[in-house]
Amino acid sequence: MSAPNDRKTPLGDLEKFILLAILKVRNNAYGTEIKNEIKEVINKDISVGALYTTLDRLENRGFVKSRMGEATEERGGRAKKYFRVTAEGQTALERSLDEIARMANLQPIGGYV
Amino acid sequence: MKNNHNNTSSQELDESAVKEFFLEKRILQVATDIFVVSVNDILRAGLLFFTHESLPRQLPPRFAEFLVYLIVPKSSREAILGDLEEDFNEVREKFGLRHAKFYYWWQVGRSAWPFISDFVKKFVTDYFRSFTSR
Repeated sequence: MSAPNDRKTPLGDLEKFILLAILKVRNNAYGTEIKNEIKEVINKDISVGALYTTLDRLENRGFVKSRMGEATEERGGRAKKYFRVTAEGQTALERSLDEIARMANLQPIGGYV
Repeated sequence: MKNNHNNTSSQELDESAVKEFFLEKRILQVATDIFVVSVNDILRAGLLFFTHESLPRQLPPRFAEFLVYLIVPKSSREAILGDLEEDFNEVREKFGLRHAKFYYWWQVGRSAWPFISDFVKKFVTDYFRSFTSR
């Protein structure tokens, strides 16, 4: 599990995008859905490797939780791994977005969190 | 005179016999060729039916899958291979098998570095933590 300091470390850009993408897909999304959501909205093509290493890091920090889902034929009978953002993850994301909003002198960014 | 006539007719007979011989030989050759080709086709069709070896494999490149298997941690292995195969099938339907295979290799190549750097980072962190915890 993560060290207490890990949770206070600010979220990186990719971590924020991934957390927002999961929340946008009913807070229950698997790898391809997250990747497609990010590609669709901000036209950023992230690799599967970057996605899963970031998700792994977020899970170690306690910001997301994963569970294995169903296997489908189009995936060669392999199961999906679903992720959801935890309450701690939502708080960290809210704090991070609030910091950006304050620095940019904007209204607090909300809606997803 | 009679002798001469006899000679000519036997020569004609010889020629027609030679022609007949070559014709028979040719017919036999053609028949053999047809037989060989047919047997070959039947055997090839049988091989295709039972092994599907002559068909191009409609699955992701096996060696690329093996590389993913090597570099990805066990906890995410199945999910990552599944995601990659889902993308592969989507590209195959849209652009064909060759593009799909290229896309798969491209994704594996791009994904290798994050996993390797993550592994090295964890290894170095654990190594130094072992000194500080003493």
